[in-house]
Amino acid sequence: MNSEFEHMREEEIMRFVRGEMGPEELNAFEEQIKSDSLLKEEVALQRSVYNSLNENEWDTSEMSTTEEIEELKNVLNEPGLKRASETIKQVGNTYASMDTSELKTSKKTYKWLAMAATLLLLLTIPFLLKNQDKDFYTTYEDWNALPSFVEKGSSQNSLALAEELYKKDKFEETIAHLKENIDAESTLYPASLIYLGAAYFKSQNSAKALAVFDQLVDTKTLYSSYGYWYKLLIYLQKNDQTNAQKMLDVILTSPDNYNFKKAEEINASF
Amino acid sequence: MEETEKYLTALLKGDSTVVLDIYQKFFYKVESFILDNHGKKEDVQDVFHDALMYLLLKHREKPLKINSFEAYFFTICKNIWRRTLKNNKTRVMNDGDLALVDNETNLSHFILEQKRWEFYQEKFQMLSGNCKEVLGNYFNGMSYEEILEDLTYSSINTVRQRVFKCKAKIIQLIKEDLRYHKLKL
Repeated sequence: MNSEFEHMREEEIMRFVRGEMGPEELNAFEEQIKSDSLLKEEVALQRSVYNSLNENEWDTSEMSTTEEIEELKNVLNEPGLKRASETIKQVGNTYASMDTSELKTSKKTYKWLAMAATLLLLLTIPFLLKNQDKDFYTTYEDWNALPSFVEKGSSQNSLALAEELYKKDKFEETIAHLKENIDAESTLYPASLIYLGAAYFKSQNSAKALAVFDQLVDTKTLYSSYGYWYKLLIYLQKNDQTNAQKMLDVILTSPDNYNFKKAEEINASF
Repeated sequence: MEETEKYLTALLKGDSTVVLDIYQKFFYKVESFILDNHGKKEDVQDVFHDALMYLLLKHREKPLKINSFEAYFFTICKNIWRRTLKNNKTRVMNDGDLALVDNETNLSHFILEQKRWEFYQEKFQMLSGNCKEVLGNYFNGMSYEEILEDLTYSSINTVRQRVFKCKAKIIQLIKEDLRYHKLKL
């Protein structure tokens, strides 16, 4: 008897949750819910489970207090997450502005054609691509015209000396000097990293140069985007098309990035 | 696992290169799903953004241990979209009379709802294979008659009994868990 009653009650709850009750039955059941807190709790749980596990629904039952929501909003407003949110949005805008229509078409209809074309390219014209990269590198490399960050009258500071050494092609000495004097707390730290990375590159140590430019990117200063540009130059010189394209894509996320126009030119014919 | 770690670390560091990688790998799939389900192009970016923020937040609380970044991320996107459709439906039923809330409030509600969804999913996965099949059909709106045909039970009464038992089981599993008391339903 007890089990039968339970069964009937369950059936009622589910018909209510699934919206299968007629108006009269619905009114009566809603009245019962109002006066029976246990029933109310049971209905709330079953509705929540049903809406969650039904793929065409979603459970939006109120379960959170204002404090919990406010607490979460505060977390979302912390600088780290705020920055991540901005990056996601910025990259999303760039991605949206990229011309992906060809890619999508090939995905849908011409997948086999794209594969064949890729294979053909890989087999027949790698040398052409290499030469093309080298041309980009030759046209755009600017290692001898690094920006100067030294103000007049401050020729005695450590960066001034590094710039002077670098201009005289004394790359090993530039590296030694900067390694000894670099100061991560100084406002000139990003500028020092530019010279250190460039000096490594000119000393045939691309791996260290790339690592230094990564550090530059990580400074999250106005000069971070210089790091992308110099990494792009290194990848172009090494004929690393994939990474070069990645750098181009990042630089093109914002016109404020260093050498944005040049990156646009390269990207147009890359 | 390595891929997940790479993506989440990059997101926390604001590394645009890797974030672009995520867009290039997964955006198309999410976009197709939303466009196929009554969405517009402009909806996709919001869903993508909120799903990544959810992952970040969860990872910050406790490092995520998931087998496939793609599968998990896509599930989050689908749930955000389910929520959007549900809210749109509610808005229509209320003749547009539903207070518009800011993005952060919206995302905060979703975060709590998604956690609850994951809790129920965990309990659902603890059921027997047969229970998952029966309840899966039932929760997705199938009538007893349709389940009878689909799963070849002997009578409507047997189907009803089965649904009753399986539902009782999942409710019991939920109630036994301490997290249930924090749900505040």
